Amino acid sequence: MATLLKEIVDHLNAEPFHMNLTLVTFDEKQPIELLETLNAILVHLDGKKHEVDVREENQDNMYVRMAGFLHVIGCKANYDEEFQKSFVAGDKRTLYPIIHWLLSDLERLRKRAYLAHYLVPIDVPPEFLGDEAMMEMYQQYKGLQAQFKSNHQALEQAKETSTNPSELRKELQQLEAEKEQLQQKIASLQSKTQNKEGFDALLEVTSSLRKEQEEEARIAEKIREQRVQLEQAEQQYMLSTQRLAELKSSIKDSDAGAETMLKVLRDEVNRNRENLERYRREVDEKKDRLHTLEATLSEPPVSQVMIRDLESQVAGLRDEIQTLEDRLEEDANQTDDKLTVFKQQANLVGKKKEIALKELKDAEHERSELSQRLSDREREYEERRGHKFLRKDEFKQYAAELREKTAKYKEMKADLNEIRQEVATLTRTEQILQQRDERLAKTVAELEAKRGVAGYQTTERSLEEISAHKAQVDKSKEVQLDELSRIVTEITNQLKDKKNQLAPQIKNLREVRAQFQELEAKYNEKKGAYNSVQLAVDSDLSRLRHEVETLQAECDDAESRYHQHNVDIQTAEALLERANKEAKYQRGEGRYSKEFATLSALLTNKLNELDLHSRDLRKQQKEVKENQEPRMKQREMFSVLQRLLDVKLKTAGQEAGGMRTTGESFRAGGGAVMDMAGQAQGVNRLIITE
Amino acid sequence: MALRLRCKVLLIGDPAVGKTAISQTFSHGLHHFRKDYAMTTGVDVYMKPIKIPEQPVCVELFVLDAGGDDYTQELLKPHYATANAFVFVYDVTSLDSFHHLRSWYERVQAARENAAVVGVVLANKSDYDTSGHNMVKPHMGQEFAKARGLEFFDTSALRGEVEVPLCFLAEVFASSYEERRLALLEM
Amino acid sequence: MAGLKVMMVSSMDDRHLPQMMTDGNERTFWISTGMYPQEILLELPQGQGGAKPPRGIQISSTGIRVLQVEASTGPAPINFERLQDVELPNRSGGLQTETIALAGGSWRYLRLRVARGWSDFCSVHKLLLML
Repeated sequence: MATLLKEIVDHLNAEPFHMNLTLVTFDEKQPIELLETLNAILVHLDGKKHEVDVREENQDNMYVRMAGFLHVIGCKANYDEEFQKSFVAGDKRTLYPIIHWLLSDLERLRKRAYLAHYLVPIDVPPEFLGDEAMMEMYQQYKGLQAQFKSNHQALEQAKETSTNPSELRKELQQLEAEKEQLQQKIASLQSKTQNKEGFDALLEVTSSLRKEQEEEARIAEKIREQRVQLEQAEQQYMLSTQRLAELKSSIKDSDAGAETMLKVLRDEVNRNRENLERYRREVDEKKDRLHTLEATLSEPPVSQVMIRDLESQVAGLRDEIQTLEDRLEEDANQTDDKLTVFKQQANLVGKKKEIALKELKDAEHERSELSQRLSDREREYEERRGHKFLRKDEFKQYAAELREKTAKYKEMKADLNEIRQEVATLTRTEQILQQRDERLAKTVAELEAKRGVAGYQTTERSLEEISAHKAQVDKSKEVQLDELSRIVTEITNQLKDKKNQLAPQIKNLREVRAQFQELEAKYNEKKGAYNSVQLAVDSDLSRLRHEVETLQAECDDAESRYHQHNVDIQTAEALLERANKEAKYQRGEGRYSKEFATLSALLTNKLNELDLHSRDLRKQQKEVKENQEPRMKQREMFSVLQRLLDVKLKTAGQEAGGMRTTGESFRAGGGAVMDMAGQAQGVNRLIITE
Repeated sequence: MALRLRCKVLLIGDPAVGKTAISQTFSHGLHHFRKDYAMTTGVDVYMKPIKIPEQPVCVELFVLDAGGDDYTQELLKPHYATANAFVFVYDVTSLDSFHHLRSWYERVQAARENAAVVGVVLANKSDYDTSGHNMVKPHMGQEFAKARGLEFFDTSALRGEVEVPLCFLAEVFASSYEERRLALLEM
Repeated sequence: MAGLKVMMVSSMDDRHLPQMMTDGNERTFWISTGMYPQEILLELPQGQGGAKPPRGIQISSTGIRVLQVEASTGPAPINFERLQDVELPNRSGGLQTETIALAGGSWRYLRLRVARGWSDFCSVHKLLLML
């Protein structure tokens, strides 16, 4: 606050207000005075509108005027009712920051105020814009605003780029001064040279000398150039001769001539390539530089200002150099004329200085002697009086101190006496009290003894102690309880806060729950609908799938039938062809084969053959049927016979122990049963009769 | 939906070697096997779908059966060129039927011009004892088949063994279809 | 191919749909699944308001030997007239391309009948209307 105040006062005392305030006078301003100050600042910023006597203005109007303006130029405040109240009352806490803000950037705000005057848009309610004239006016206003904007921008730019006329005037003055200086210089030189003899001739000679010197320098330069050229030429000559020699030697080496030459040439080509590369690089670098230069050239607005700056700088430096040179020259001139005088003067001064030095030395010597004597005297005094020598003022001080101390001493002594008296009275009182206490104690003891409560006093004392202790404890307890209750209230407060915080959320939750239930119901409904639709669709789908499958199967069957029919058709075609052919054969056109004229002939033949065959077979069948019974019987008999023979064979094997030889011979002939019948070996005989 | 391929199979061989028995047993099963012989006069067509194992493919075999006589074979001749596979059948008990197989094969080959003859050789009535003379020994049939790039099978229509060679043909046909399809896809 | 519509084929593999003949892409194709004859029934685009009927149809195929072309004026796909029989050369490893003229009137349906093939299976890769 203090720094804020100080800054405000500083600003108000400086340009353009000159209020001659001190911190105190500013701080003591009445509210209405403060508002006046503020108004003064506003007048400075915006003029016209604010030239009002604040004391006579209606408070509301004033607020509207000022706050409106502050708002427009971008003062940050919450322009609410409270603000208005404190603003109108001229409250320091409200006004100081505003004044400080206004003063800290006066120029920028002034500009902003100026712009705001023209650019703050007029708020036209849209219903009025429907009116054509109004609309036109509004458009015109907009156009003018835009025009103002562009003009203002142009002005700003012009201000920035164009040079200040006062600056130019200054420069002009400087140049004039320079010119004057130069003229003076020429005049002085002329005056110097006028009275010298043969100056013209000398001038001539010197100028010709200078010319000749220049010529010489030029010739030397030329010589150097030509020498360099000569060197280059010689180098080139050397290179050429070397190359020639190389070529000659390569030509001489007839066997590898072409190759070496080619190699040389190749090397050369490579070298040239490298050179080319280098040149290209150089060219690129040059191009880059050119680009940068062009780029710098293509920035005229910046360069103008810069050039102006640089030029002024150069001019300043030049001036400085000039003045320095002038001074130097001046100095040189003076020495020329007054050197002798100065020398004499210097000599004189030197002598004077010597004398003065001598005098100084003497004086110093004297002083040291005197101080020596003084110290001697002091010492003497000390020896004589026993304490340090006191000078007059020292003594005066000492006396004053002494007086003060004695006064203090007296005072304290009085105090002491008083205290001593008091102590005496107090000791006396103490003694009396002790006596009384003893007496009382005695009487109490007696009383206690009398009433049988001996030791009551001690108990009481301990009780007192305990109660004191309890009080202490109670106090701490109270403190803790207080703390506890504080915490509890805090907690309840927090609880309340949280409840308050939660209340809207709970409300919200309730709403959301309701919403949720609604949605769920809707969801269930939709789901049911979906399910039923799905069921329908599913059944539809399966029905369709089934249909598709049956149709596909039908289709496949049809396809198979198609191919079967094709086979049948082919067969039928073959049959038809055969029938046609047969018809032809029937008509006698051609024969079916070598043997048969027609197929029917063949078939008849075949039929006959088969007929015969079947007749044969039938005969056979009949025979078989007729003979079947007796033949079956015979077959049965044969099988019985076989069994019989098998049994015989077995028994023969058992008898083999006794009639080995017969067994042997039996086994030898066992292969064929039929033979046995004819040969009638051994005891067995078989007769077969029909 | 399984892919349906269609394969036309011709039964070729002398009369009475058992062609009709084979086709009937194949298409209807064993219980339909007819013990009495009826001469085939026209062309009989039997269709049977064969499921190819482990593939979504079904091959419909159209088995064409005509009598072994010249005048009945005549009706089958138009199919020689367009058939996809052949079953050459002989009777193990008839040497003649085996020897005639050669001329049957040549006739088919001639009708097909350059097209290959794909098929199997069936030694039918293998339920008969072939140890006697005048019987066709298995190695003879095998050699005949091998020389012509055909597959050899022993069958007995009586015992219902005709399924194996025909399923074999179906599988060959299915793989030839897939081969062709892939070749076209890569073309 | 605009306007050409396949109405029926006599055999089908789900992986080689009949529309693959008319999609203008030779890499996709319809293939027969065995046995001859095979048929492809097409509906030709009907010229609206004086548009010329197609001059012919170009077929890119494999394995076809004898192709019978039949056409009908509609309105139902019956009463086909035989336009021509073509014997296509055997071209192993490549496509057969054959152009069939559709002379004589405003045909509505076209039946391509593969009576014989060079192979067990034939395929049609592209059907292109010649306008």
